[in-house]
Amino acid sequence: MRLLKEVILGLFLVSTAALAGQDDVIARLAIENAKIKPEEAIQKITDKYPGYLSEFGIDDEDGAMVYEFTVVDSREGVELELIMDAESGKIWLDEKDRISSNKLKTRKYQLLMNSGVTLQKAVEEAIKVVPGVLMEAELEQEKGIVFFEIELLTDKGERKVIVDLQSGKPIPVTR
Amino acid sequence: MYSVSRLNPLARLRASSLVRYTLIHTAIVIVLCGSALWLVKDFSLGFYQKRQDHFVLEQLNSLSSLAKNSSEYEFREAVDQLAEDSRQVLVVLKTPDGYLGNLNYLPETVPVAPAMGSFWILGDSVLGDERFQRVRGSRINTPWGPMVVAYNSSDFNLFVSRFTLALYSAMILVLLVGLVTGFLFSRKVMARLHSINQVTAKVGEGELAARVPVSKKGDEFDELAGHINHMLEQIEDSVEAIGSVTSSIAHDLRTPLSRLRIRLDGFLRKGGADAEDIIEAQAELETILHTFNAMLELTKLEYGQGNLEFSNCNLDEIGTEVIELAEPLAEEREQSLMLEVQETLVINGNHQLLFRILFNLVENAIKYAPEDSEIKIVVDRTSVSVIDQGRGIPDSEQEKVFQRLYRLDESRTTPGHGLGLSLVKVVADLHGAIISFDRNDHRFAVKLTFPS
Repeated sequence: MRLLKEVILGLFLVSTAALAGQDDVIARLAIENAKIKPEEAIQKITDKYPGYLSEFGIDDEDGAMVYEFTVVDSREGVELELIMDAESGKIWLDEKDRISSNKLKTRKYQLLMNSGVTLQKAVEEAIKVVPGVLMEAELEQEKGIVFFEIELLTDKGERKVIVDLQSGKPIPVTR
Repeated sequence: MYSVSRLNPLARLRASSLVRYTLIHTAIVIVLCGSALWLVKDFSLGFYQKRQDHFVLEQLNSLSSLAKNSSEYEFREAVDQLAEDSRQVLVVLKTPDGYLGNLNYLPETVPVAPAMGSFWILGDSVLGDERFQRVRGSRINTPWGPMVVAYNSSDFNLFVSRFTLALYSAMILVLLVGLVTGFLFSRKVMARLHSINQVTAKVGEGELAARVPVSKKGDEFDELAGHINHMLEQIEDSVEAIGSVTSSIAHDLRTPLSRLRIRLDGFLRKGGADAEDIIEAQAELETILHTFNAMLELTKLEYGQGNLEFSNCNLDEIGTEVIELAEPLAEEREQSLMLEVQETLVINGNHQLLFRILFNLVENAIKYAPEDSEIKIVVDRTSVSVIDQGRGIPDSEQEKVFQRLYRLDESRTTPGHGLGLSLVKVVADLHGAIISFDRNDHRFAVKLTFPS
């Protein structure tokens, strides 16, 4: 079982064109078999680190599945890049960058901190629209709209959901 | 005296019409351009948008009736079909088990048909980086769940944004050009007003000889300059006239007053005065009083004090009366007086005043024409003339003889107070009559032409 998982993970992370169609299945399997689910991982990070989660992703680190996070800590004025082992739940700091107060004053960060729409809530909203497994979530800004772009894995493949921070509601995506 | 030129520069700027006119000009240009552009936008983009709205509402209308007459399965099929038909029609149906159609979410803010609302979608576009699109749509509630239909025209959206950009750029350009041209135009106008201002300020400070420069254009400013210059000439003349009157008064009254004093001194030396002396002194005083009264009367007439009674006056009759009264004076100088009526002249006027001025003219003729000559009053259809055989008034003096107390140098020795012709002028003006002189070698005519 463990070996299968390793193989599956390896395949998922170094996917080739030939296996493209199988990616979704493999990724789904990998996530479903992980000891710590993405939602739990987000909860752990939120509990442990003060600040606001702006990014979530899944990656591999030497063949092991890991979750990646970006946390904006406005009080310390830093942006942390954290990595969590999906198996052991071990967390380590990948990068720590200073974030200028001017950058924190921009609309993007102001909405992140003050709109009440956290990454966690946005994901909850997204799953209501498109039932699926969380793959990736990222804070973005385009045309004056600040939103979480959330990738979900469904039976029919990857689906994108946009959640507007201003309204807290999804923005329709064409399919 | 309040003067703008003494304010500080900022207040001057605020008070200046230059700034005001520039701004007004710019505002007008902007309003005009804005209206024009708005009309263009409304007629082109507005029309296109109305067509889109119409299309969306039609789709919703047919979907609404379809929902009533079909099963849930049929309706879902129809929605799927519509979603696949065209990329420009966006349709989404919210069912208990998810969203159907070509959008993955039904935005709750869209109003119910026939109202239309805008919302954002994330979709494909001709330009890869323009992922978000603003679309217009409307909502209906079907038995199978609420649904929204919208029209997605990314090309149109792109066109709208380019058009709007062009519109704002045009407005900014208009604003700049408007400001510059408005400023240049106003400055040109103001520069001309400034020259007029300067001249009037100079005149205000006593420099009466200052004149406004007149250009060759002959526009309103030149007209104004012409009027101002004319006015200044009038003022200058008046001031000169006042000066001349003052010195004339001094001169003309000093002589009789000095004579009176010498007489009174004589009485003192003599130790008394007899009746003859007193009568002579009284005559001197009479002359002085007469001059004053004549001046007062003139002033009254000129400023319209004292109501004048106007009635129909026959100039033939007045002429006859004048000759009757002047006959004895003429006889003293062995002159003959004649009335020649070519045509009867009746005008609306004041009999007494007309008599006075005609008498004044005849009296002048008697005084200044040579002895043993002929003096004629000629009445025709529009005028009365007094013609004598004297040398008359030299051309150069003709303008001045109407001034008060003005007397030709050669006539200073003749008794008179220099107010006779002034009265003639004032009365002629009251009657709207024009005075003209006609002078030959041995003939001088003063002609009063009445308006017909």
